[in-house]
Amino acid sequence: MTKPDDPLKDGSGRRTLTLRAELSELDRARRFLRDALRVVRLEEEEFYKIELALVEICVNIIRYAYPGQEGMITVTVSLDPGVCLEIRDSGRPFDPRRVPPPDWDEHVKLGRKNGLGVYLARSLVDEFDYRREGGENVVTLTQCLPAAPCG
Amino acid sequence: MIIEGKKDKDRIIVSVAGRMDAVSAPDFDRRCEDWLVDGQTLFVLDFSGLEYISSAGLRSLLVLAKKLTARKGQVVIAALKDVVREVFTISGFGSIFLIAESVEAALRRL
Repeated sequence: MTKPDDPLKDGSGRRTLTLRAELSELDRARRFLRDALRVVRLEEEEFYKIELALVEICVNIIRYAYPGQEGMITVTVSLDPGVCLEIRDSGRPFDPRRVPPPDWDEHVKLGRKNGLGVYLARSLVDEFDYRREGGENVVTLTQCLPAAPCG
Repeated sequence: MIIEGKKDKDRIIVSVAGRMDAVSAPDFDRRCEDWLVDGQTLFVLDFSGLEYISSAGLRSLLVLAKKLTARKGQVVIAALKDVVREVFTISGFGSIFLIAESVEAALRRL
């Protein structure tokens, strides 16, 4: 729960960061998330899971959403209910809910590499959702935590 | 990410510290490839200093495992920190790798 003087409560209580879809921007995304979640004082392990889920979705966008061209990623963090991250890109349509869980034997024997990050992101958070909206892919991640309960 | 390799008889102990992610994982791949070319087939990965692993890091471990399978080699991962262990558990990764509590315990398994 946020207190009245928390910066996150300004306006809509949401914070937004826009990134270029490049690996070199990931550090900015991490710093942004850490700043945005400072008010809820998460355990390091709780923060780690949310950060990793965010990074996995961003890396997937960087690798696949904008083949051969530049693009942007918009990350919005809001609190209550839970910690909620919304990640938007305007690249090609991709529903990460449809990626099957990895078949480890296949990964090791055939050197299959895809799908790991999305699967991990889905496993790390309590709620994982996707919608296509106005030409954008919108992924939402929600984590219910003692410091930021879902109600 | 800091990677150091130390030979111990016919085995190599690779210490990885810091973050293993999309940015740093290619370094790990290159270093391992060098050791493989050098003829090393028994790897202990000392993860006691590893703070963070993403799917890119997991993928690098799968690539190493695949190369070692082809050479009849083996890899044991040692001394996972809690947060990294949790990623192994959540992903199901912990079930396909040999995991040891310490480097000493890992060496006994090779």
